[in-house]
Amino acid sequence: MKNKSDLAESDSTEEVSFKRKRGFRLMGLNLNADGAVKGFFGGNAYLAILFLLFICIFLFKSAIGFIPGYRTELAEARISGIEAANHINYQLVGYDALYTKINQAFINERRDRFGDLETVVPIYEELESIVDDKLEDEVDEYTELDDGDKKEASALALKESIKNASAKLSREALLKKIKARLPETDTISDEAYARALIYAEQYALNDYETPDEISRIPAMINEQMGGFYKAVEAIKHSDDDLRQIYASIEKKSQVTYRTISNNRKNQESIDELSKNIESLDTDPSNKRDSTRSAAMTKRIAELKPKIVDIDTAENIKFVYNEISKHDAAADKMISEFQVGVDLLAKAEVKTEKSEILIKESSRLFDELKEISNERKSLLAEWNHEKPVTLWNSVTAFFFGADWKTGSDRQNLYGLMPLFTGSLLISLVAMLFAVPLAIGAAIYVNQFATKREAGFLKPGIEFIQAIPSVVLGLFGVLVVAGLLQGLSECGWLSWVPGFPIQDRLNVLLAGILLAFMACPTIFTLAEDALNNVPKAYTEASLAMGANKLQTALKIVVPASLSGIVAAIMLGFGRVIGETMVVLLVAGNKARIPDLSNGIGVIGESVHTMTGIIAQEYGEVEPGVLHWKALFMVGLVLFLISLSINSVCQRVIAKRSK
Amino acid sequence: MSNPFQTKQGWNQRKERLSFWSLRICTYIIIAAAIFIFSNIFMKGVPTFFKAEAPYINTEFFTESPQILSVWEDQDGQEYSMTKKNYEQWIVAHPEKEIIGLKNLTASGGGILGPLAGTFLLVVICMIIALFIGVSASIYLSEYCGKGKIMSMIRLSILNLAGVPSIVFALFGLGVFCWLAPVITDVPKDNAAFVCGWLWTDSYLSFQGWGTSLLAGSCTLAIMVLPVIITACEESLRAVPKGFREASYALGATQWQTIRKSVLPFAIPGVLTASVLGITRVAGETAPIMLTATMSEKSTLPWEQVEGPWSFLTQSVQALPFHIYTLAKFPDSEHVKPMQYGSIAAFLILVMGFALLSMMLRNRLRNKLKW
Amino acid sequence: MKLKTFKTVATTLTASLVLIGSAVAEKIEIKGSDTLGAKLVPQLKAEYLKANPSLTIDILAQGSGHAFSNLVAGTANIGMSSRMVKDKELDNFASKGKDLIEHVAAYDMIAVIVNEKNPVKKLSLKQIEGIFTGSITDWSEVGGKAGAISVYTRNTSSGTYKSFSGLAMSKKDYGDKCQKLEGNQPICTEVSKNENGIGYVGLAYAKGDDYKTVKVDGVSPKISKISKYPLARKLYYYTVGEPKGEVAKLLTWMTTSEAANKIVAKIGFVPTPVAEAAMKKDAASE
Repeated sequence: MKNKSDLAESDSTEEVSFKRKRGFRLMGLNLNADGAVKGFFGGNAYLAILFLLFICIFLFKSAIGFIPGYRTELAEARISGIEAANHINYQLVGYDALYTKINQAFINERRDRFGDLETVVPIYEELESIVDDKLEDEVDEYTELDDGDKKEASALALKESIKNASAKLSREALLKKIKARLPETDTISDEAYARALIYAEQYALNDYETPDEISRIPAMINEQMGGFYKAVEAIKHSDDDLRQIYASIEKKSQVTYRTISNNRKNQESIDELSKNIESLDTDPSNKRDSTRSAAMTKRIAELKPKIVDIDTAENIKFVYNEISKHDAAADKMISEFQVGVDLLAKAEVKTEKSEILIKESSRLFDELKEISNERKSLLAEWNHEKPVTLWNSVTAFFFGADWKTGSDRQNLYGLMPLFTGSLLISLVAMLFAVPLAIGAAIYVNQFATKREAGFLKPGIEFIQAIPSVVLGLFGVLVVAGLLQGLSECGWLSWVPGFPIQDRLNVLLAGILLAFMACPTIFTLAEDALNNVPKAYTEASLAMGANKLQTALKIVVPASLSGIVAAIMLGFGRVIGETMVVLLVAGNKARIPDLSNGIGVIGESVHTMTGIIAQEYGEVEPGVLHWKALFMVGLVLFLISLSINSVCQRVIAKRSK
Repeated sequence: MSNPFQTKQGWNQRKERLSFWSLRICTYIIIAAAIFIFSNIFMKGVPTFFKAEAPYINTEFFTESPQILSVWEDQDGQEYSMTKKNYEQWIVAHPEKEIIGLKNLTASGGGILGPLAGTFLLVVICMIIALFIGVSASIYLSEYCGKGKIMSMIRLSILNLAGVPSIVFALFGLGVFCWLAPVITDVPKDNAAFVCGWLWTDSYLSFQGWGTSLLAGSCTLAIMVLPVIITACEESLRAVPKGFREASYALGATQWQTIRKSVLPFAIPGVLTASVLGITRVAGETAPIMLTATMSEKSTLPWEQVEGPWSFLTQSVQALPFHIYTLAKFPDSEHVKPMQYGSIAAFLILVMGFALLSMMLRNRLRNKLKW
Repeated sequence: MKLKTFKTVATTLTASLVLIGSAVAEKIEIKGSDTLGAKLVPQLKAEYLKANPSLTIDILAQGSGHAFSNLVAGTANIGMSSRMVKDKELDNFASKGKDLIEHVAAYDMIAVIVNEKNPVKKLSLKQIEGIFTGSITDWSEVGGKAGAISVYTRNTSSGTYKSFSGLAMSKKDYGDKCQKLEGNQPICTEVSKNENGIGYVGLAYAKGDDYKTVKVDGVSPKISKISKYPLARKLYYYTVGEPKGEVAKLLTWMTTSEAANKIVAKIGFVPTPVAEAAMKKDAASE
């Protein structure tokens, strides 16, 4: 009995002590403690959520301003006629691409035919560099002298020493050097050598002036090339008129464009300043504010005269005038080009390489014709007053083929080169990572003994912790060289894109990123395989299937959605990676040339993450370039968010 | 003992063996690549930590900041390479020697104390902020909130944010902390987004940002790691069995008492793991601090020449990952190599150490706390 | 006890808030060009600090664009730039009511570099323009061995990127086949590893093991040729308003003192007095 009451008593005392304690704690605070604690935690939770929400809003806000801003710039480019200039420029770029091919064919042919004469120039240049490197003091001494007997004597001495210095370079060594430029050369004739020597002497005696004859030699050879040369000449000058039109439109439109956009910017800062002044004036009590507003008023006064009047109508008239000449010029280009191409067909071509180049150029010529016609009709329709819609600026961003910043003409913000670059690298990375990581996951989960799995699993997961910058540096220092060396091995020449010319390229970035993606894919895929109910495996084994059949036909299909999610998350990780691609992708903002097929992996590309890291420094908040970078960030954000949310849903569903 | 049921080696068996081996090779390719990278870095990097004479440890590497490295030869063809400071003392000490082909290489001599200290400070401040907010938020999310639709949506979004590329957070940090965060100052900058008087003083509250600074970098990293920490902490809190809480309530404890006495103690190891995981992730990041916190050259250590806590927090720092990025742009020269490989080896050891710690903690946790 | 802690925290917080306004350390931040900031300025700094050990100088070199965006935002005391300020940037300063003062740091010549194995020894300005705008794509067109040209340029925030386009490309846009690299050194590295590579760097980087400079219009980038070399330019320091105090002292020392000029010359730039003397001499002789 006593026992029981004791128990009851002790219970009650405990309860009392509990209460008393609580009461003591609450002294001074009337609210209950739980509420306060809850408030504290809740506050922090909402703070965290708000922060994260704020990121999204800030990103959106900074990015979305890009679209109207870009629209304004595009409209300014249109109104000033830059757009018209661009249309012409497209044709000129096409022409250049074509001309360089034909020129290469011509030079190749020329070297083949006029080997001996061709060698004079490179021999001369070798001798010239001997003069530069070894006889600098003597030449300087000579040039310092005043005219007279002494100078003549010195000239003779100089000539002698040039001869001696040149003779030190043996003919074999010289031939080797010449061969590096003109692989077809077999011998160096005495005549060519003597001629080159004379020119080299002239070079030294004329205070390092290259003799004119040197530039005349190629011209001389050209003359003797006959039909081929005529063809090339016809082609070479066919674009002159068009180029002239382009130049004059460009000049005028640039002036207009720059003035308009400067005016706009100045007006914007004036508006902003006046707004600030207004808001300061509402509270005149603060003395400091009045000095601030006075300073701002002064700045407005400084800015106002900077807004210049410009007669855009007059300028655009000029542009239209030039455009009216365009069709004729474009036709002239095409027709003269045609003449050249016809001549080319008649000219005799001896080397195979030139033939290939010529064939290729005739294919390109058809393209040029198309481009020209297309641009002609676009120019005919072109109207500087046609409004630029928001949609135009959206498409110009998402489908624009050029990312050109820091340009003296017009900054272009087209996502395509960056997006395709990121995508290509990620695809290459996945090509390596998926088979390896999934294979490893299946192996560790299904085949490995417990002990083996015990070190394989943490081993692979451990890779995840390698910081990306370390991998990037490692790539630059070690892997790049290895890969380039490997690509030059003869027995690997069947691999498309090999040998690789650019050390920093898609393949290198892909390999390094694959290594980063492996642990992510492995871990998640292994989890997915692990989640397949044991009963499946047991049933399969009981039916007489072997381990392999069970693994590939039962376990993998059952966990397929999880594996797909793992791959996608790996992809998300790869596409968002910055430092590795910044260091090893080569940063060439150009849509990869898919006409090479798989060989495209040897190219350099730029990426969305890379462009942010590379260009953030040159922008200040609020300018269009800054917003463009945020826009790229937003695209990255949305890509990774959508990948993640799909995958998380899949994973959540599976774990149920 | 041979299997009595086994028929002769058929196509199926061969196929199984083949697949077994190809899967195994896949696995070991990954491991081999990892071993290649680690061994390569450590073999070239670790020698930087040591030197031939006593005390055998290259103390200079850990007690000096990156400096100019002077490389030259004397008349006998003997090559020297030392920091510029030492070089100047050396000339005085050896007036008889001729100096041939002196080259000065930026940031390739000295050691990595400055970057190491910067990284340490960035990580510590970041973790203070992230853990404070993250742990409280996860307690709230797991203990006080129900499982409503909105809550699960919030949870899912937080989880999704964990996968957002760091460069996006970096851009955000650059925009918000470097250019927009509030500062109290006498002279507001012109590019401030918003300026107003600060209380009764003559100062202004100006939203002009903290510039490239320790604080901006830490905050950016904290925001970046917040989703990871919240998710991981919440998971470990949820792993505490319901029974613990119910028992506590049954004894009449309030909610806070329950959390403090019978949930948190059991979740602490999980929180610890989460924070180590967070450190691993934060310490290895380059892009966010490159945009918000770092300097490539700095003549003082972070704690030298600071006046007050605010100037301490708003100074820019050197950081190890950014130092490595700077080194990546250096030439392929043998004089730079010790610094390059030494830095990445030290950095790897640091980050790997944390990763190892988090893995060990997690494994211990799994074995120990089973209910 | 608890209250005490609270009080301490509160005092620290208030103290730090008060300090926000008053903290002005003797610290100089120099930001901008990689051409100046990767080699020259750090070495000048090391020399200067010997005499002024109490000073702190921080350097961040990621491109001239940084110089102006940081100067306008007030996050740098001195901007290093390898090009003149652009009109657009000047407008920015003007709209903030700030004066930008220019100080010539040194003269530089942009050297065009090719791989050591590349037989091409000289290029005309026109050829260079063609190569960098993308209209010349093969080495055989400029007298070399046939092979597609790989073009390496600096990134867009670099001043060298800008001044090169002004000096060599009549301000035309770069072709889209250029690989944009961060800093002079990566360009040297890539060119030295690629037989068909071409790039441009500041004179300080022009000497290397596996690459060489080419003559531009027949003139090689040598200090004595500064008035004839077509790709010569000035390098600048910029400040907002006339520099004062320590900044002024540092700038004067960096641009005029003999010790500084020695370092400038050793690194491979042309010290201002030397360049100006050379130019004067040439002007007189013509």
